[in-house]
Amino acid sequence: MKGIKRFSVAAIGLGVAGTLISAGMAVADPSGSPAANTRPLQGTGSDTSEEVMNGLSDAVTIGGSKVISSYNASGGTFTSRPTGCSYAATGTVGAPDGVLRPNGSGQGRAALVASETVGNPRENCLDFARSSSVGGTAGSNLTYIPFAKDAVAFAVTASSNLPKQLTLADLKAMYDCTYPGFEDNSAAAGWQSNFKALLPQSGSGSRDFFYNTILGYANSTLTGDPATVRGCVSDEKDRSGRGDYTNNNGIQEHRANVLDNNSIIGVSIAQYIAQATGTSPTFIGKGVLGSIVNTAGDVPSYPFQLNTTYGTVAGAGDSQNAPATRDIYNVVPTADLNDPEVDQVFTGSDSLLCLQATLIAKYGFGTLGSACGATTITRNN
Amino acid sequence: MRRLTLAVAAAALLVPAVLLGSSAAPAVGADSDEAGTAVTVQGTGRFSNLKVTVSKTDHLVNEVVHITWSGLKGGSGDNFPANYLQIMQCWGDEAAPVREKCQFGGLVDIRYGGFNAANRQVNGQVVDPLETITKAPGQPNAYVPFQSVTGVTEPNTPSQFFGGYTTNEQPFGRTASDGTGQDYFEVQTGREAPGLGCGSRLPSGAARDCWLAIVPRDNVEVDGNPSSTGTLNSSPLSQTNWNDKLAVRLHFDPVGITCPIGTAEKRLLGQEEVSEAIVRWQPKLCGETGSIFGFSQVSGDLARNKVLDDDPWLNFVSRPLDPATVPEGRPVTYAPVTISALGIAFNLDIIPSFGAPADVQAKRGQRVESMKLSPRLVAKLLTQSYLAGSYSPGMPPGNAIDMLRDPEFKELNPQLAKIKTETPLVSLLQPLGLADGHAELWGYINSDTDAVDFIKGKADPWGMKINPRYKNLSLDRSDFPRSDLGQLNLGDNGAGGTIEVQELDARPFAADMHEVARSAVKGDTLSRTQYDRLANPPVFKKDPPQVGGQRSILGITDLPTALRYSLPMVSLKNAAGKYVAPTSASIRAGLAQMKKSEVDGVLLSNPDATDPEAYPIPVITYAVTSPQQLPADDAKAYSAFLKYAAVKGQVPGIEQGKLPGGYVPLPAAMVEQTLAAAGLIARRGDRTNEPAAEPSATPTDTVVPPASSGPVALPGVVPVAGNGAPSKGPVAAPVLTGPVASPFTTPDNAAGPQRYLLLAALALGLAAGAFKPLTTWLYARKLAASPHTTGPSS
Repeated sequence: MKGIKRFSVAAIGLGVAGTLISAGMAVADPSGSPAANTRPLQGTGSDTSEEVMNGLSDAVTIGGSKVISSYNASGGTFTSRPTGCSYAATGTVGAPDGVLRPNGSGQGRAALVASETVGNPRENCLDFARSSSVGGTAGSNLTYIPFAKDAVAFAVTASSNLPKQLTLADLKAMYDCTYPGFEDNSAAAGWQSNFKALLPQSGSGSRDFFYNTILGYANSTLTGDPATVRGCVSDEKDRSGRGDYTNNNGIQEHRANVLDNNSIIGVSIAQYIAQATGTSPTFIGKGVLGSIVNTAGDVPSYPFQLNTTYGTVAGAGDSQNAPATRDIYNVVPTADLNDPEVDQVFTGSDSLLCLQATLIAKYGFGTLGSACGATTITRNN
Repeated sequence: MRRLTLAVAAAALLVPAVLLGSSAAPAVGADSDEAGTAVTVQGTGRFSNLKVTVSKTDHLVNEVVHITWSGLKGGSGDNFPANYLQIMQCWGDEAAPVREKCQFGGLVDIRYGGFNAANRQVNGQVVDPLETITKAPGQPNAYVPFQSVTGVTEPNTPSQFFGGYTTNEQPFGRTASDGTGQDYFEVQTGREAPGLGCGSRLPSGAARDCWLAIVPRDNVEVDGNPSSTGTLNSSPLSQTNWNDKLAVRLHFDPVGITCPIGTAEKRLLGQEEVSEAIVRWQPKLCGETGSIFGFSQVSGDLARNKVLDDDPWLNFVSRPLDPATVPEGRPVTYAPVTISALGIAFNLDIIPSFGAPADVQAKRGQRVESMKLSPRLVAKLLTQSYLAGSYSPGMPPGNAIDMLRDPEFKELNPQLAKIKTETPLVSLLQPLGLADGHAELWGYINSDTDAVDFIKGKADPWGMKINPRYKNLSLDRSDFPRSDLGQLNLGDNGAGGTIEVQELDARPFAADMHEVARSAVKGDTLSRTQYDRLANPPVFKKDPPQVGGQRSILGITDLPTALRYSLPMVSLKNAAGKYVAPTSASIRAGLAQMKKSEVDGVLLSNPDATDPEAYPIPVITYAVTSPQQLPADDAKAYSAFLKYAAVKGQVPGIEQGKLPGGYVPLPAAMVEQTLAAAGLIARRGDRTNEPAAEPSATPTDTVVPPASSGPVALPGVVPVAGNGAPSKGPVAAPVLTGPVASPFTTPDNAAGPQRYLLLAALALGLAAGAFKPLTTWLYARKLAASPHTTGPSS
């Protein structure tokens, strides 16, 4: 079967539009009362879970009051406490002291670590971080509490020159620039490959999950001048290289509208579903989900409805199972696990977040049942 | 002439022969002894088809053993969700390894496997019904404590005893889809693994034995069910997994030398090529000669200078002193002590390229066992001529991006034309500093017309040209210059500036050939290019090591060192046009072709050797001294040393006192030459005038404790109290810093002395051939001139 059947809301099985949240989508920053910077649980970080956490911020209350303030990965200036604790708007120089709104899982966790660091200018400003992967280094400073399940696939445009079904070996070859059309072309052509393999900017949990876990490549494989090292891989909107995000040139997560007919990018399936159904603001553009198949020509199983058996992705030749599903986390300092708000809201399958399984599913995520709210995963950052 | 007062790092490592893997080049030396100590064990229960073989289990020192297995039910793929082996070293004399005593959970940057697959946490989302350890008070989760041999018990990692860059644990033993796999595992003595204390002397005098524990993983979790995500999240230390372990007893040679208190210590000084042999001989020399011999590794230039000192010691070089520098009436004696070979070791795993044929696909994850390099290819690697090896503009645009994409390499190695590497293969790990061996390598390159033309700027047949910053490089040198110090812009740092990777952080020097080999086998490129924005201030962290099955490192080292760390060596093109790897036979053939130098008793390599079987870079290490200048007791000791070295020390074997693998025993004529030199030295050069009786050197602390690897001393040198002024009186008792694992032990992640090495590298790059910058940078001590100054040797 050629191409991907465009989905319709009915096929998704998400239910009818009437059950969507409020009149449309949750807003980028907390709204309503109590005032955002007075709520006890302030968090930043991943794009992947920003909308679902916005929805949960509206729904989760203690004693009738909202307790979560979750700030999207990009947006304007905000303060996270009644005094001080200001985070400048995305893409600015970060006045007054250079601290910007954290953008992505890595920055969100870094901001949380900073918040726990005595003497840091943002000490005590944040309470949790949204993270779409377990990152950082081994240790126990932070606890990663899962609350939802996601899957990751790739996207291309509907009229793309690239196939919409790829084996894992194909996908790996595209991201090390050995797939036909992705090779580093000659100096005369300015080292520009015909096709580009795109990634969200560095620090993104989804980038790490896609590049490290599914494709199995270390971050060090991208060190080097793109003219000579994996020249087809770019995390810049203008595809001119890697790592230069000035003037908002970095690719944000889950914005398939960055694609053209000659490029490919990894995306969160939950995000795709939510954007496609209008639950989240849409950045899909012309992007469509592709699927990773066992061997070329297999009948693919489209992961449109988050199919929890879309678990492992087998590769060609040697068994190269790569887990394509991932849990999504809220990260809290381990030392705070017994704080009353943290305990009530985040930890255990009886937590206020985990009790909102229906809401979580509306954002395209899978739910975790009794595994939701576990506190067994710790890292140092 | 500088008088150097050096304390001695009595590096008493014991060095055995190690097999070269299953391969093309037959091992040199004591391989049959080693094969006799191989052990095979079998799994139980679900793993009863699993067989694991460890290549060497006796007379172990810090070295790399080859572990192979078969009988797992599937492959681990690239990301290790399931089907792999987990290998760790443990101490303890119980009937089986005890999990609390195992060195595991030290890795910090882990890319693969499930959440607890590489740590000591035994609770997780899946509950292990047999697990008894629960969360200790104050701990966020349940962990298996680490009980060190010292008595200190830690609740979890991070451990004070092992860390991310020092641990030898292998949590992810790559397995092919047919259930077979292999690993090159570094066994560690108490020096490298102070928490385990393997090889330490027990009160009985025997060395502490240790365990290798191997935990097999299939796809079943600790609760008996397949993992719901396909990835095994539990730790190998979780009781149900631990019950499946296989165990192999490891017998170590004792670490450290024991000699009666009061035994005089004599100093040996010189090139690294002889160190493996000397370290092997050291434990026996005490009994055989009545002296302890402490070896300090220095360049040939420094060693030659020492020969002309008032107190000349016994020194080890390959190239002789320039006769013009030797004063009249001061004969210098040369005695050959070891024969080995210099070359390029490599650790290259097969990753099939996209579209590779089935036979290459079938070898995914296996090691490449042989590779051919021409002198021109070596020159390309040494001159940053591949595009991905330079961060500077102005590189010739037609150049290949890296060696695997170089048509010259592909033509020479067609079997490697369809493989790729994770990061571009553009350079060699090079030892820092000056050495006769380095000069030999350049001499080899200089003997080849194609290579010389390339250096002069001529394009190779495919249009590749030398990096312009190396054009017309002088090849009469004994260092590895880094003439292109470009920077790579990694983008903005979020604070208005840019992040720049420096050349010497991307491709650092190694401290010496031992560091080259040890790093190469562990997949450690030594690079520091991981920018940590979150550190305060932001810093470049060390790159994580390459994972087994995906390694690609080449480096300059000698054969004994390569064998010790289980690395194959490159087949180099000889003058007859044949590609030859270093073996006993090829080294002997190369030796037979060496020609006399202008100095009696010293042979030099012959670039025009015509024997097609000859390896082109054989290395003879000569002991050299001025016999007439030696004090009487030194002369006696050195004479005894040479007698031992020439005879008993030339018997190949893996036991202490024998000749380790990688060395070829001296032929009869050289044995005679050395015995004659020993006699001459005993007679102190047939001195005609007896000097006034000399007070003997103050006895020093002689029992060298097998201490843990404490603070890193600068290589082999510790500033000694005293002013270093020349005198014939007793030398101030040297401060023994205690043995260090190698004279160039690299600290985990601190800059430390390594930073000086980087600065020294810059200085050397600018002032090639002068050893002064090396001494100035590394030794903060003012060195007094000696009245015998005659200028530096050539």
